[in-house]
Amino acid sequence: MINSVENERMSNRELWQNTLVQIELGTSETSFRTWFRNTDIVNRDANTVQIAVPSKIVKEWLMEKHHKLILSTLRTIDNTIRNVEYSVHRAPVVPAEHKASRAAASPENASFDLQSLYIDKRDNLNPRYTFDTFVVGPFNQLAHAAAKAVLDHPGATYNPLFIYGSTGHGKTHLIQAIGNHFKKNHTSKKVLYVTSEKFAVDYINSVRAGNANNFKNQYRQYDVLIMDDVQFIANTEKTQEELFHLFNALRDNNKQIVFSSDKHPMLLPGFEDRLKGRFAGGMIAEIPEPDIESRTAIIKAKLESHGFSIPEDIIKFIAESVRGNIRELEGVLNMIVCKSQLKGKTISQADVRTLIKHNLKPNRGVSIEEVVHRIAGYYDIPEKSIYEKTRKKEVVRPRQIIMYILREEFNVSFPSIGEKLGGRDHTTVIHSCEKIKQEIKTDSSLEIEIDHLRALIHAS
Amino acid sequence: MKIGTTKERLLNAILLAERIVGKKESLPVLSCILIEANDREVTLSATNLEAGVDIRLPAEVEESGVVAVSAHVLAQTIRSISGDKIQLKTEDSNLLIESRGTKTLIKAVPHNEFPALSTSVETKGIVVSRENLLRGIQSVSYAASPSMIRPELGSIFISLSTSGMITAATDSFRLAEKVLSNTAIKEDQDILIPLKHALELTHVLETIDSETVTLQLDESQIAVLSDGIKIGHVRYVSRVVDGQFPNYKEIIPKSFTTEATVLKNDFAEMLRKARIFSGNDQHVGLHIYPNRKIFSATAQSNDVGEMSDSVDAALTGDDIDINFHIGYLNDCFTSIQSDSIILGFSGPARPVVIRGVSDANFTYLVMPLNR
Repeated sequence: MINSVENERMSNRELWQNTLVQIELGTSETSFRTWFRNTDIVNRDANTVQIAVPSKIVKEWLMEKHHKLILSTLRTIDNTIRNVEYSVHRAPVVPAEHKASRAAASPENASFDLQSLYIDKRDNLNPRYTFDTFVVGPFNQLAHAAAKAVLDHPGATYNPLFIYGSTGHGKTHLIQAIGNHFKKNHTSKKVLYVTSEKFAVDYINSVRAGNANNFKNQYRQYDVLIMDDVQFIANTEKTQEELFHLFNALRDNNKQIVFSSDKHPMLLPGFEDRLKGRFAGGMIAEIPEPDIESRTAIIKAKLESHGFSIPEDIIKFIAESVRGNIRELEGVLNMIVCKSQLKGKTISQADVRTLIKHNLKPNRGVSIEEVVHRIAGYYDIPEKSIYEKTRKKEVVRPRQIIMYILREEFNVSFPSIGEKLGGRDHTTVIHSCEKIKQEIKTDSSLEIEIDHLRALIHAS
Repeated sequence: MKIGTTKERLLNAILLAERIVGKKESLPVLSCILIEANDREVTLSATNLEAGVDIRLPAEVEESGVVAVSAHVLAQTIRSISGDKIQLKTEDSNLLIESRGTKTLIKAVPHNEFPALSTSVETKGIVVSRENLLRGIQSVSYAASPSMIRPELGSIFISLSTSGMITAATDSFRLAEKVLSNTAIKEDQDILIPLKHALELTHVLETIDSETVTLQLDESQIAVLSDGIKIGHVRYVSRVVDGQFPNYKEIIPKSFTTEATVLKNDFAEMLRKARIFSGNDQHVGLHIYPNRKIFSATAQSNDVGEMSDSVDAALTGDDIDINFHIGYLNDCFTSIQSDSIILGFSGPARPVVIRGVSDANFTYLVMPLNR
């Protein structure tokens, strides 16, 4: 709200007092007292002055009867003013005599602790998302550290903080945790969490209702602004311009800004360069796909919050099979918890397998040939050697891995795998799959290798 | 202007409008009722700038026109008229009232500064039962703070949702909540109406006789519309508070360490006795000892003396001694229909919860005294 040019100009209060003195001369005393009592300039920017009035009835009266007088009087004092807007005070002005009435009911009466109960709908924060429930693993260490740094020096160290990563990797959790932390530990700070889509809708509505200035003020009052999924305002010229100005206003006043998106700011399509530059001007942290250890840790943390426990081997199985999306992982766990409560017994690996059948990465139309092509390419061996009867070591191993991946990842039946890979017997395929499965348990480099291959196949 | 109407109609409308007019307004026209006649209708309006009312009543309009006269004088005049039929007309811009032999002339006030009550027709409005809205506000209004220092506490909170209507008010020393679940409302809406205007609204709701009223809300104002037979079309507008009511559900204890079930009248009578001896500060001590089956109250003051009284009660839980402000306890009785009430305590520094037996729709919380 503090404008850089404000200092050179008259303060809002002075301006309005001077205006009122002149208006008073030109109107009758009763009329002046009735219509101009409890009015105030609440905001002034560029060339618009916003006047707060006690009620809508007064607002409409002033607009209709005194608008010209107010504007012309204001202009005699400050000729840069072009427009006057009226708004109703958020709450009625407290008449002086009321303050003393029924003097503070009874000081010895205890009162409710209401202060902590204002869950301000305006900040949109979900109290569920806190740092306590945020699982930190190697994959999100950087983003987490950056967020913590923001908490220590808001508006200074990393401004803006830009978090990006695919859906379900915990961006929203992390940025909401920042907001919740501020809300809890710095009650004086005004925090707003908003999705970019909501921001755009607010902006459009304010333009339609003709009070764009209200919109500006509303957003500029925050000490911490958190905007989720900025990619959704791609190609919205005016909204982006508004965000640009808002960004500048907040940053100039050392207010912390946090963004999240699904892409690196420089790769965001449909954004103006000046905005991209500003996104990238602070700290950028990626939250990539969680690694298997982190997934295990996340599963354990989630189970704990459910007050539920399942055997280690099943946790490992889930961590191996449901990859990437933490949201999906959560869904699977909810399903497992629900199912086992329903059945009233501990759950077996087979149960889990049937439960998560649909959550396994679906075969996104990747053909067996495609898998073979990619894996052969990865190991740098001729594709057709996979289909041949050759038992060269360089070929046998990739072939087994292909079989394993086809089976585990795409649920292809053993006989059809055998058939497709050069007419092998299904027992050969079973043997290969078992062998790789056993080896993964002892050989972590193989595990990483297979993870890479999976990513490679799904990356198509 | 020249109109004819019945005394009853006109008087009802004028009494409704008279309550709204500003009491200490510097602008003379604000203590007036504006009478506007056109086509087949007469509209009476009054406003105190924060709230306003207009009433359209059917009348024989011979000549249309506008006049503003003092609400007080007009109400007195119409009240004292004995005839059924009343004729109002302007003469030299003053108001001439004629009825069966009586003739009165009321000095009119220039009406060009009478503000129009804005019409926000954009919102389609929410239809609620008149009786529910009235009961909802009346059941909780005494718990609101009389001061507007914290606007949300000086207001009545009305929450409309698909599950019904909830009204609540608190001044941070006590809290009242009323649930009216038999009204289904299609959209969610939270409204904060300043206590003063909410009380004016209850008077309007009491006077009109329509089954339902329509609420129209915009960012700074609520309009309550009704179409009744007795008075005609009434529209009451009030400013609303743009704020957040505390999430009070959090402070309502879910379980109790001590519970007492007593007859409402017994308890009220006990408090009445205590009131005599409590002096100016109105403090009462409640002593509940479930094991010895004792539910008693004590009060004393240096000037008057002291008392102790006990009533029959069904008690469970731990022993407790706790002090309250009598007025705070008393306030809720009119809102409880049941004969018996349950008092739920959860410790010496925690609020007592008062509900009617088998009535979960009304909840009242009172904080104890600090000592």
